[in-house]
Amino acid sequence: MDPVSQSETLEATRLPFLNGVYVAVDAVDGAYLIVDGPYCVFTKAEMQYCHNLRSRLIPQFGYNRVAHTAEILNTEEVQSLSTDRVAQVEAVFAKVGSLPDAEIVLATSFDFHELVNFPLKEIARQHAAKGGALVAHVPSRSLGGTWLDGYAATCSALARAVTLRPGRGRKNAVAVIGHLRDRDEPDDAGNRRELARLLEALGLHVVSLWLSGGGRAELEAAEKAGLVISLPYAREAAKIVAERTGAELCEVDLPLGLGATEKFLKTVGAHVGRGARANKIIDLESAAAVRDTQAHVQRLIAGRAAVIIQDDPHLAAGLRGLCVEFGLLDGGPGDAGGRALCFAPTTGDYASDFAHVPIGYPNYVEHPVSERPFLGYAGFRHLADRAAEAVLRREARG
Amino acid sequence: MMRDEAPGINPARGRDAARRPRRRLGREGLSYVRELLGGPALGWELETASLGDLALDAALVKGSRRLELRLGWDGADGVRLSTRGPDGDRTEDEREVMRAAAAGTAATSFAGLFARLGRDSLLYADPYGGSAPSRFERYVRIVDHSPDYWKFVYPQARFLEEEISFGVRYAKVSHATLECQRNNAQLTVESLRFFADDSGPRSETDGATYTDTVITEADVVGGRTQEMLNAALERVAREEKPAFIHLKTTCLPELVGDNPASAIARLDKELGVPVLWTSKTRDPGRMYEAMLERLLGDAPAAARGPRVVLLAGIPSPQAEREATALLGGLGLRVAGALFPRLDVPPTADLRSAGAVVWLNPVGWEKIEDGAFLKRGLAVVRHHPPFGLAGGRRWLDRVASVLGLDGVEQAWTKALEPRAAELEALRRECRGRVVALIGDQSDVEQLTYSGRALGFSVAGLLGELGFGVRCLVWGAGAGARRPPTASGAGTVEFVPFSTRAQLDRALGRGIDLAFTHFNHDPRLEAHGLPGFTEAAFEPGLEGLLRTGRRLLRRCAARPFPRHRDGLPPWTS
Repeated sequence: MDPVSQSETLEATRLPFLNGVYVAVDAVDGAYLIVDGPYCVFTKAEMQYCHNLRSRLIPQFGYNRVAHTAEILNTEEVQSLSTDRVAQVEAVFAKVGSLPDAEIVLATSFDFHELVNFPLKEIARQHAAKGGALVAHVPSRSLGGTWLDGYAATCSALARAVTLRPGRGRKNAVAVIGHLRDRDEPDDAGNRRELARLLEALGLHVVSLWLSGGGRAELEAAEKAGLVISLPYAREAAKIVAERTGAELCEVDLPLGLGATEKFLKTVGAHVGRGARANKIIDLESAAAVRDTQAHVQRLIAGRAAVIIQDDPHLAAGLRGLCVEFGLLDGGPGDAGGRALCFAPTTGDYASDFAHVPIGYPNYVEHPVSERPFLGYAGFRHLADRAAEAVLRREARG
Repeated sequence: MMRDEAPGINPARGRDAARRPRRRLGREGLSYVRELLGGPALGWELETASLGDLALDAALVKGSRRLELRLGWDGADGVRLSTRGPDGDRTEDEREVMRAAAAGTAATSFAGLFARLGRDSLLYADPYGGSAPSRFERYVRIVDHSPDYWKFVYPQARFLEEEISFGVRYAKVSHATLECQRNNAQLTVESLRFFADDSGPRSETDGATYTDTVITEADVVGGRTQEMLNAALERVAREEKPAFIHLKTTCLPELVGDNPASAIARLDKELGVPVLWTSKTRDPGRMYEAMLERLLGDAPAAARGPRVVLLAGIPSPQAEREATALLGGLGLRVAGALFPRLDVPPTADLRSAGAVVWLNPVGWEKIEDGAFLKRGLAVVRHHPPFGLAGGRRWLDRVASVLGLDGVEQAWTKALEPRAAELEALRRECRGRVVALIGDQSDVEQLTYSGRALGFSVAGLLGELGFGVRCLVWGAGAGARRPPTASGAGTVEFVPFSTRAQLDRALGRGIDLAFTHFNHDPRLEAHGLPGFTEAAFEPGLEGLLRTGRRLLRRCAARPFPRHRDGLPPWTS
């Protein structure tokens, strides 16, 4: 794959704003999303349904957690935009807000609805004032933002809207804000367990994880944290929560790979005055991870070219570090053809050209039954395992 | 004869118009109506003609004038001729043609007229099949599905014209935002899809190139979207030199007023690259028909063989082979196949073919047959040949419209070599019970012949020997019917009105159930597999394959001894 086609491939993996909003809504129990937009709001939800076997966005015979305003109009969407839709959209808010399990109602716009200056924010504000379900507006960047912008914007809207009382933070209690909880499957469960384990090793207890699949109570438990640990997928939300609760803020990168995990531990450890403890954990765990993976890395992985196709810069940065640790070389022209490893989501048929390790969003082809993290030391072992398997499978195909 | 449209085109077609009951006139019917109305002799041309339940609506045109006529039932056995607008407003010319039409219809019986027109009428949607809401209306546009615990049937209105493959040298241009482009799971594997009959990318690209304009906020605010569209079309036409471009415009560019019409005209004129433009707010059927007209070109009528046909609406190569053999039994030679592929050299085939025979027209309703009728071809468009009864009816219709004999012989020749295998299959199917579930309307859709699917699911299951159990929601206890014979199998009716009743019914001796959901929690709670109309194939070989396929599904029930552990759906 030459650099040009690689950049075209990267373009093909790019996902827009609303996809990220959907991922976020799927990651909050009791959350509903009203999209001022056409029926394609439903078909878009199917992408998340295919990525997450336990997605709650579109249950077969329940209430869709992604509602669209077109349901009330019997005309072509383009033509309907010239009519006064306020009462009809308000009716959608009232209907969704009255559902017994609706804890949080978020609202945003599809791209062409974003242009027409419809008072969605005002309608959301009016319904928020009525009490009951929490109602928040997610300013749409559907015409220009990426899915990661959508995820972050949803977290920010939640950070502004949920109840967070200042001065309740406890020492050693942390809120981790900015975790990308893309699905309710064991790869994410493994990541969450590993994050909590690393922090526990530093003597810190996670009281709230954004986002994690928990509901409003999980989000509002952030007020109990004396420290907000900011992961890269919702930096602004972490700042808002820290400001609102008076907690300290510690920004860290994604702990993917040995170096990044060590940096994560050192940064947090230094912030809480436990740098020496962090170093001790690192000495112990990094050595063990190397021992456990050396045969896979040295016999099967090292020395190959690697191609990273990700529109998620945080994941891409982590994978670049991982590739160095695995002894992989930068992929370039002529690396397609089977020997090279490729770390990419499943938006294309990368398996025909590479030893493909599906990672990133979306991942349609892997739905693990057992925990399979990719963060921290546990994630490092799993990635070594998966990279080796991809190599061997590719070689076995000839 | 024609003006700008072929007879039979419905001028009021919209997004779902394809599902409305529509029956049009065939070649012989058109010819008869033309004579009956007497217009051609007076310089009037027949512009449109459509057949309703109790009336024929026609429009005659002469210059800029248009006269709409209705031939309806007069209450006895005669034809009542009426026209739109007050008689006093008519010109002498119009009164003259009205007098001619009245004279033509005076001695005509209503029943005779309709029998004659029905002889080769074209079925675009089943007359009783248009009433049920499609998946779009009944599921996608609805957010609250909580009351629909009983609903398993969400038929998809197919728009197969979108699947037409025009050949290798064509280019697709999509004028859309990134949000719009990434609005479905096209690249996923079919097992993951929400609906069981959505199986990955539907369009066959055949190596077509693909260009996205990817409109951003800056493009909209800067007023550049029209420019982007024109530039994309220009680049593709000049650099890729395709046989034609398929342009799709979407909501946002149409909202801001982008219009490619002048660019399309220029590319056609200067570079000879035609553009097929489909959009959100325009009727795509006409666009496809215009392209079809262009592809067909002008074929002289003289060289056509009355026993040479084109086969249209091909669901699979196997179905094409079997239909070709069946038609061969009637003495017909299939000279070529159309739809979804249109990359055969059509003019060569058209020169030899005297008729177009639709194999499965369901889903192709937006493609009308004006282009064929205009060239003098007869058209056979009726229910597809699913199963024994359906296959025989299809063959009868072909023979009837084309004036052929030998149906019995052709059918026997096709049936005999497969009879033993069919009987063996039936013996296996007789031990299996298949559930069709829904309200009365849903169950009717699945049990009555024709309807939206073009065949009866219950009828075909019966032909295969299955026991069909219809679970009817809200029907009341009086709707219960014990198993009675249906084909080689049985059919029974069991009413239910609560979740608990449905759940109990699903747990009682059912092997397989019809559902449009790919993963239906109601069935999965009992380890039951599902199926849709997609499991059925036309033809006799198709029927055998269908039976084997359904039997395999019946056997594929996981956790045979541990189903108590499956999560319930009723809580």
